[in-house]
Amino acid sequence: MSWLDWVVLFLTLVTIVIYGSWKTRKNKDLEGYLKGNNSENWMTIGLSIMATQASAITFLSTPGKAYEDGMGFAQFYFGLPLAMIIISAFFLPIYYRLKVFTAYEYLERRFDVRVRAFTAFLFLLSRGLAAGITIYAPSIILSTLLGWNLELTCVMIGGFVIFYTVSGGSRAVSLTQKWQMTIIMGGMITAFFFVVQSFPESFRFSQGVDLAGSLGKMEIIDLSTDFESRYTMLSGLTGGLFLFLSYFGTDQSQVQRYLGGKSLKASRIGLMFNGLVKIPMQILILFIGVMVFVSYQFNKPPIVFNDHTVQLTASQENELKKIENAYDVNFEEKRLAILNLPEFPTERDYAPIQEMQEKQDEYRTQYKEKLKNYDADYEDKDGDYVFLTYVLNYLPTGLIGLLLAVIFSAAMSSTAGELNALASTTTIDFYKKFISPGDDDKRDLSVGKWLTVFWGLIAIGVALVAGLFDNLIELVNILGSLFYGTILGVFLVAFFFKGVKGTAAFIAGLVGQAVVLFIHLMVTTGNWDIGFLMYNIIGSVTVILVAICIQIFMPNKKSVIRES
Amino acid sequence: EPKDDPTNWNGWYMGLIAALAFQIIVYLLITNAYS
Repeated sequence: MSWLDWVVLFLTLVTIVIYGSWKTRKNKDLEGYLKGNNSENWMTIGLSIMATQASAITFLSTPGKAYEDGMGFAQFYFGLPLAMIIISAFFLPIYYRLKVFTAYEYLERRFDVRVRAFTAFLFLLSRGLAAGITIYAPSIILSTLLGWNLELTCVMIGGFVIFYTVSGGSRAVSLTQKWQMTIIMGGMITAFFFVVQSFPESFRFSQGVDLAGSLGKMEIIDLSTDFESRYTMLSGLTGGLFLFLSYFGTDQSQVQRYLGGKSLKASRIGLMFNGLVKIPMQILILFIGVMVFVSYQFNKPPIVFNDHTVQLTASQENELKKIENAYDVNFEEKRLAILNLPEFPTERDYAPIQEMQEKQDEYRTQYKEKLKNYDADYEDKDGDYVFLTYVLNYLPTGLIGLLLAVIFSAAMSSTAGELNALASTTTIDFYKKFISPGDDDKRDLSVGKWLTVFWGLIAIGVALVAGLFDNLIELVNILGSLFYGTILGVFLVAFFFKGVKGTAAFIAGLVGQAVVLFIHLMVTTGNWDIGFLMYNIIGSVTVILVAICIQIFMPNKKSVIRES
Repeated sequence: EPKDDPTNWNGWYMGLIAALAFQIIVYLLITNAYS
C-alpha cells in the first residue's frame, strides 16, 4: 500500500463518519433516535436496506465463489423479490398502522408479552453475536493479506461505527449507508473496468467472456430438482424466499430500516427498489469474479490464496515445490494456448485448454491436501482471499485504497444497522417494557445511546475472541438459521391466522424451536442430511401447524380462519 | 390503504414479478449458450 492508498482510505472513512455524526447531531427524543422521526425517502430506505444486508464478506467472498464455481450463487437471491412483495403487501401496512418501533412489539399487541419477549430474545442472541462476526470476518482477511494487526483492525471498524451510531441513531445509520453504498458500487464498477483492462491487448472482452464460458464459469441457472446441489433455481425460489421473508420481515436490523420511512408508500417503493436491483448487483459482483478468473489466465495466480503459517520441514517444502513446479509449467502452456486461440474458437479449440484448467485445479487440490496434512489448522477454503489478493497485486495505486474503503464501508454499514437494531430492541422490548414504562425523553434517549455503546462493545468483544475458537464463527452462522424459522412461523401465524391467540402461538413457537434443534442435532450427528435453507421452511411450517392444532383443541376455541 | 394513496400496488408487484421472470429468462439464455 502506498501513501496515496492510505489517504484515499482514511479520507473516505473519516468523511463519512463525520458527515453522519454532524448531520444528525440534534436528537431530542427516542422517536427521533430510533426512527429518525420518519423522514427517509424511498431511495434512502432502498439503499439502506441493501447496505445493511451487504457486509464486507459479500464483496470479498462473492467474487471468490464465481472464480471457483461460476455464477450459480446468484440463484440464491431469486426468492428475494417475492419476499419483498409479501412484506410490502402484508407486513408493512400493519407495522405502519400500529406505529411500532420494533417488529416484536407488534407480537405483544397481537398475542401477548411472552411471545414478544421470546422472539426479541432470540433476535438479540443471534444478532448480537452475528454483529461480532460482521467485524471479524473482513478483519482476518485484511490482517492476513496486508499484515495488519487483527485486534486493531477489529477495534477500528467497531470504534468508527460506535462513534456515529451512538451520536446520531437510526438517521445517522441511514444517511451514512446511502453514501457507503455509493462508494461500494462506484468502487466495484471501477474495479470491473480495471480487471478487464488487464487483459492482453490482442484479447478482447468478448473473447474473455467466451473463454470463461468454455471453462464453465457462465452457467448461472441450474434447473435440477436435486436438493443436494448447493444452488439451484428451485432452492432459491423456495428456501431463499423463506430466508429473505424472515430476514427482511422479522429481523429488526432490517425492519428498523424501513420503519423510518416518511410514509407507507416510501417504504414500499424502497422495498421494491431492493427487489429490483439486488439480483443484478449480485450478478455484477459475480461477473467481476469471472473477469478476475479470466485475468488470472494471463497472470499466474498463486497456487493457494491463503498461505500457510506453520514452519515446514525441508522435505515437506520439497514436496510442495514439486507440485508448484508442475503447476507453473502447466499454467505457462495454458497461457500460450489461450493466446494462440483463433479469433472465433470452436469447441475443439477449447478442449486442450479445458484439460489444462482441470489439471491446474487438480494441482491446487493436491497442494491444499498436502498443506492440510502438514498443518491440521490450515484453512483450505481460500475463496474469500481471491478478490483481495487480485486487488492488491494488479490494481493501480489509489484504486487499492478505494477498494479497501469499499470493504470497510460494507463492514461498517452492516454493523451500524445491527447495533442500531440491537439497541432499539433492548430499549423498546425490554427496558421500556419491564424496567421503566414511563415517558422521560431525556432519560430514554440516554438509555438508547448507552445500549448502543453496550452492543458495540459486545460486537468488538466477540470479534476479538472469534479467532480463538474455530467453531464460534460456524456457530454464529448456524444460530441465525436455527431461530429464523421459528420467528417467521410466529409472524406468519400473527398475520394470516387471526383465530390463533397468544398461548397457542407461544407453545407453538417453543415446539417449533425444539423441532428445529432436534433436526440440527440429527444433522450434526450425521443421521440426516438436510440443508440450512430447509430449516427455515420446516421451522415455520411446524409453528403454523402446531399453533392451529392447539387453538382448535383448546377450551374457548375460536374458529381458525385465514384472513382474507 | 390510507385514502390519499391511489397507487396501484398490484401493478407494482406484477411489474416486479415480470422483472424477475425477465431476468431468469436472460440468465437461462446465457447459461444455455455456454453449457
